[in-house]
Amino acid sequence: MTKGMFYKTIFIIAIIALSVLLILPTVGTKKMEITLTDAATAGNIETIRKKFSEGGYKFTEKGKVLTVEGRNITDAIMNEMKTFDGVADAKILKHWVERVFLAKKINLGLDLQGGMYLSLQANFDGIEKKIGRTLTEADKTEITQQALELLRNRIDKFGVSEPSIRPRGNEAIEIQLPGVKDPAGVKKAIGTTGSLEYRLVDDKYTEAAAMWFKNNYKDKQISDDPEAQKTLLDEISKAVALPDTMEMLFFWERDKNTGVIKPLYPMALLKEIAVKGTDIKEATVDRDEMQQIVVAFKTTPEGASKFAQATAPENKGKKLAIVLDNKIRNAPHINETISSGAGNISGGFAYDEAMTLARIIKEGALPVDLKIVEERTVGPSLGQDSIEAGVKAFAIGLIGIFIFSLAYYKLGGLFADIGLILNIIFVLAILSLLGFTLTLPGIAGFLLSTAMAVDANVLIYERIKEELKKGKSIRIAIINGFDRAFWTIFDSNLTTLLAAFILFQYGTGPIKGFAVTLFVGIIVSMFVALYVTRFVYELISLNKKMKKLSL
Amino acid sequence: MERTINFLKYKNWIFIFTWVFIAVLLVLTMLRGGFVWGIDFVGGHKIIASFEDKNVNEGVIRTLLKDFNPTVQQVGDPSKNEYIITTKLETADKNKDGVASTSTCLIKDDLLKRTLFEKYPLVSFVNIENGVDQDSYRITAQFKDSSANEASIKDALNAYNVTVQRSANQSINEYIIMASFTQKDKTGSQVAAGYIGQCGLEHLKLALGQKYSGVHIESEETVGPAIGEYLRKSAWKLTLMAIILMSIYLAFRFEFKYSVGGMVSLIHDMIISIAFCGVMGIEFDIQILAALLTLYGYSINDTIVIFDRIRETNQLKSKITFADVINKAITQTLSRTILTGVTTLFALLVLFLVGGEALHNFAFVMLFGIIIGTYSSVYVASPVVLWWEKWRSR
Repeated sequence: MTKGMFYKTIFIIAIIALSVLLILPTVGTKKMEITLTDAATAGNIETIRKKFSEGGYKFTEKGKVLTVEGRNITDAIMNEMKTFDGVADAKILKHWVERVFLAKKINLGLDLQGGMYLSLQANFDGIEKKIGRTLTEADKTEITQQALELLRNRIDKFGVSEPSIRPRGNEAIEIQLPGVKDPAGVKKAIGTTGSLEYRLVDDKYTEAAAMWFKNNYKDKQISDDPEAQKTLLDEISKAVALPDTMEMLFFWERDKNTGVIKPLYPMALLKEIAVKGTDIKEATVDRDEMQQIVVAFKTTPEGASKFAQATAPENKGKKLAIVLDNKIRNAPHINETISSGAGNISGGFAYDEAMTLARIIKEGALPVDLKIVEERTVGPSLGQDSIEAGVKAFAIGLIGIFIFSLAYYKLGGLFADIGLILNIIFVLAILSLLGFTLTLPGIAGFLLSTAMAVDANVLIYERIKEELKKGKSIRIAIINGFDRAFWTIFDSNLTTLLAAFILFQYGTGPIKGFAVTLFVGIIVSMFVALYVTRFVYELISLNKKMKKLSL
Repeated sequence: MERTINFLKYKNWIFIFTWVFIAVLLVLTMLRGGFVWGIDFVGGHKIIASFEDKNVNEGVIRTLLKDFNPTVQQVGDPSKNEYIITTKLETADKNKDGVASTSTCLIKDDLLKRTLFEKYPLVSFVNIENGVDQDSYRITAQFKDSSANEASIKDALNAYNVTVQRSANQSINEYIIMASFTQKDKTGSQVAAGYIGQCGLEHLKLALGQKYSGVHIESEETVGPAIGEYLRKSAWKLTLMAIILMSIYLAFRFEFKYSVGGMVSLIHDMIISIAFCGVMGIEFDIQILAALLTLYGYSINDTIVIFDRIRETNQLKSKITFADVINKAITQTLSRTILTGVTTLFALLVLFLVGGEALHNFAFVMLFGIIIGTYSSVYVASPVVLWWEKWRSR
């Protein structure tokens, strides 16, 4: 073995080891922790236990926490658990590989795990009527972004974890909610227009609340559950003896990575509405004299006097909270009285933050109503059936191919089979890295790439056989076989790769999923056939005593 | 010396056969009533529902929902009594007067307010609160019309479950209306009077829920008409773009004649596979689109393997004719063609038999498509290259 071959061996083994690690969170057992409420009865626990009685789940009970271990634990199941009686919370624990390597796991699409998919569009016609002119493409994009911000603000009302809300093109918004139990409730939450208001913050009670929060809730994360949040707010109000004229609400901040908003800390607000959302006419992102990014706004004539009142000298230094759907999204200080009907909100914004705030303010000025243009809900049992049947078919098909190639190519078939297994591991590892969502069309793409991986081996072996028939030595036959098959495999796969690229670049949703698995699958199969398998055969051909190649 | 099979001997006959075959498929499709577009591409509603009532069958559901003009198909394990019910948009959302509407349903409290407004145009709503649960409301309304009283308001809202009470302030004609919208059907799932979703779906579910106890909605889909059109257009655009790009690559890596052969055989595959879906009455949806794209990918792959061999054999500059070069190339790659084809077919057969309902149509179209794709590489792509070569050298 040459030095180069030695390094190649190390390289291949390292890649295999890394890939196996990366797919552990996806294919390994997953752990879900179910926290029970104090009022949970033995009957409740029995119902939960029954739910996991089939399918090889491991169930342990420890005080108020139930732990379920199994391969088939999905976000949909987690969200379903949350709706069970006696369950306070359910969450899937991160696999250690996810924590250590920051790896992701392959998520199942809603067609495979059950859930609700919605695609929404702002009612552009209605807005055009209201403002009396046709909307430009840029307007539509901006309106869609505004609606997106509004939806993020009410994501908690959907009652699910791991929701996904994202724009599709510049005119529509896609929402994916795994395992949602009450589709009608979701539609209702989307259908209501947002309520935006500006209310003064009471510093004294906010400080008291902050103190209480610091003492009692220091490191704890505020629950996602709206009910639990309300209970917590009531508890704080009581603790600081909040007067009737005030209300305790959370300040929410947007997670820059996920776009999801989370409650951060409580603030005490006057119940009285200082300025209504409709009192402000427009909001834009601008720069002030200091070249700082600010949100500039203009009020309606009626709003100007209200704003002047709210920012009167006696309120100077206080905060004016911007409240959207009972969530405080921003609370700028009042620096000076604004009586001209135009003002700035400054605060060392990054451009994105300023855009978000401007959109929130606009939501008060021009509420966007949304209509559902596409809706798909898959029940959890149907999704479960699909994935089980799919996996079973894939396994049987694979075993069949293994036996077939063993029978036909003997030892060569064994190498091909190992190559196929590597192929699958590598593809899953790359999809894990991408945090890919696997849907049925995705499985189709995977299948096609697997067929092409088999094809690559067949092409190579048939070539080697031809060379052997011509009377070439084993070593030469192997080298020629791989060399000649290289361009065939390269050309045929690259053509398919081109098609996959087009589908990925311009396709939507399910087609994109197909394209990604196909694309990744083809690249991996080329790597395995032309690099890994070839290397194995180069090692074999070093054996000068070999008389016959088992093919 | 190895024997070369003369694949191209009957190429003219096979050419005629191909076109006759396509014509037969298309005629059969027309006889069946044309292509069936899935709701993904035309818009509409699709429900998968299972019924506990064993008397339910396709005909019964069709009769019950005849106003919606649905297609009903039993699927899966017969013991589950499961059906796919599909309605196309143009029929599903017709209102009582037969006017097609794609409007969205109103939200429940709006619906109620609208009803009151229609009877008492001068009504003003003083206050609306959510009740104890999400589906109940407490609406305070003032009536200018003195004829409004508890009984008449209740009568106006007879479609809803409401209680009406005059407010304590007797000097004005003000009433508090308590409305509860939840209409628990017998299965316990909620069928409500209206949401902002497309109306048709809610009406469909309502009609099923009212008639049968023990209806389980496994999945429901609604695709709006605009989205359907968008998906249809983008599917065409993508397929064409992919074909053009692949042709350019072939012209660049091989020669132009191969590019022609590849394109013709791909178009051949497209026509036949789509016609096959038509003959079998397979609904053309996103999943089928994925199957078609997959088999085009397979077919072009198969074609290029043969082209690659033709190019290689041709470069040897022997004295044999181009037709013989092609025959030789096909013969040499035959074992590979069969081996790969058989393994792929086997995997698809397994998928078809045990892959579950969701992959059933996909696997079925693929099974047929792989055979066609393999056939077209040998009998469409290669002869076209030969014809093109002959035509050019004339």
